Amino acid sequence: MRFAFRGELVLALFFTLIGALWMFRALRMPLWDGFAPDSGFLPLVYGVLLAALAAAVLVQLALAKDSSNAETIRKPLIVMGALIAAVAALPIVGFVISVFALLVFLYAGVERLRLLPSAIAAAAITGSLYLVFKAWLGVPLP
Amino acid sequence: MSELGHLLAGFSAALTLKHLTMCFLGVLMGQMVGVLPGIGPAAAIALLLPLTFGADPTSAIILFAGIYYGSQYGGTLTSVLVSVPGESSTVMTTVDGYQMALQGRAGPALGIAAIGSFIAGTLGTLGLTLLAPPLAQAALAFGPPEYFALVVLGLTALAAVGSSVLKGLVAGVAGLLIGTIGIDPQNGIARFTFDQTWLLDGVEFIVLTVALFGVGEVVASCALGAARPVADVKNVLPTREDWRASRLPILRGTGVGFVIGVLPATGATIASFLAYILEKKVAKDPSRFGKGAIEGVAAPESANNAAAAGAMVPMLSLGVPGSGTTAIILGALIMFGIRPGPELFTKNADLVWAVIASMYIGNVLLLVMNLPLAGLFARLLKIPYRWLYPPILALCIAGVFSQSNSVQDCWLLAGFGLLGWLMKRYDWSMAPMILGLVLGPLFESALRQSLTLSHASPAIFVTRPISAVLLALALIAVTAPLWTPVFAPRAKAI
Repeated sequence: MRFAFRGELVLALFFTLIGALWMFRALRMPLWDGFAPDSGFLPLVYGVLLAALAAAVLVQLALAKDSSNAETIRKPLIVMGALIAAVAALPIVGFVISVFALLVFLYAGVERLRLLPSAIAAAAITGSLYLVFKAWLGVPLP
Repeated sequence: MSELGHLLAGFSAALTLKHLTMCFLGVLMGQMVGVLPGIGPAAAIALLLPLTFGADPTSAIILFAGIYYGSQYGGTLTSVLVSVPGESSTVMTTVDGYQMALQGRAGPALGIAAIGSFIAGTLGTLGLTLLAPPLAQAALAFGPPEYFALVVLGLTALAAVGSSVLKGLVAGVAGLLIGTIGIDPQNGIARFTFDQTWLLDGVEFIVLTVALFGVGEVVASCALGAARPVADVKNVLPTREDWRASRLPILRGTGVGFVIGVLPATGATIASFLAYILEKKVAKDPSRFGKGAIEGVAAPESANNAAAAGAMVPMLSLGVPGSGTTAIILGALIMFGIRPGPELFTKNADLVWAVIASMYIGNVLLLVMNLPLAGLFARLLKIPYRWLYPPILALCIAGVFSQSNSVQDCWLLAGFGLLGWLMKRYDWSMAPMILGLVLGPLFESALRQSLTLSHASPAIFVTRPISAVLLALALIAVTAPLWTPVFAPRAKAI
């Protein structure tokens, strides 16, 4: 069984577990008040529905033949990791440095473009975003 | 005021410099995102949401609508020139459009697509003008049970648009579930905040939309290779024979596209498939199809543009989106504090009619852009995706942070972005999740009000005729995959 197939199973399992979590927590809330549902009723219904529907997808996937293609996931994972690192760096080094570093890493590190054009493009994009969000829209970027 | 009076007032609003600029920017961006790989109209609108937050709602919706129908024009270029559909609704254009390009007739293929799109877009907008107001008027009698049923129909219909109804329903329910995070507006109880104060306000529509359609799509597409060789574009104007062969296919495609676009759970992709099949059925020599028949370009291109206008009918009059992109536009309306649904035509008539008027103007702008400038837009195809996706990710971070100046929102961006990537990778429809989040509060309040009215009897949803019909339609949308194979062999025989 290749990753591509297992990955979809993980996705369906994730939704099943989230549904179960919502059911579990909703049961601690008031469910009914007079004639109408209270805070916990709809979350409980959503939890049951999500768990049941996602479990049905799980069964469907488990019974299906593995027809997935074996395309690479290395690059998307690196890009996703870089995004998470940039978000983690935001409160520490600020918007400009974290976004500039993210762009240089993606251009030069992931895409193997030459460092100078990568740095120039990264600086131009970061500068443009800074001008639009900070100077024009007045957003207090970190 | 009559519909004509409203439309004229809409034109006077749409023709102001501010709205005209937004309309031009919208169709230009729509054209570009239709051409560029790895980014569609839904992602483009998602990325622009933070920039329009706090702006004039009319301008913003004119911009978003322009991106939506403009992308239908742009997707044609990639279909014809590199045999890669820019949008799913231009898949059928690829069949004959690329063959025409191989025969050195890329110009006439793009030309007839632009003319057909213009005619269909304009006639489709005319249909929207005539059909949406009476539909909204009829729906003004809606009470809580009807609104409840409308939300059920909207969610199930959108779930049915994707590759799997079951996966679409999972996404829709997950969206409703995310919508329960935060303070319950009814009684002030904090729900599913996991003791995190920053979750008391819930998950913002912008954060989820940018994460799924911005980060998710970009990460899923970042493995795209280098730009492909692009066919040359010369002599965009079709010949007299081309025009003669395309006239009726354009009109038939427009009719098919508009009707399909108005129906929930269908959309531009199905419309273009049906229009192509219809042309092949009525053609004197069906064997020409697939080998560069210009009717095979004219009909589906007209159909997808008419369907884009048609999909605005249920979105504006009932608050039921017919496609992923209209679901995001619906969310944007709510973000601006406007309640979508039948009251839109009475309470926000200025906005609705300005948007409709801008669609007429936008179609003219697109025709002007596409005939002389098709070659110029074709050059965008030469930009490798590796230069495009890093700035999109940077824009996602800046846009989400600016929503409420919160780093926690950026963490949600990363988390939901990861989820969006997996959903995109395994072809799970993401739009129902957005719609679930957006319509969740309306759904909950409509359920509570309905059950209070009926003294807790759920029969209220099936004893009121409109509510019963809407729920029956929802049931049909969900169960369609079960019973359509029963009719399929008979249809094949025909």
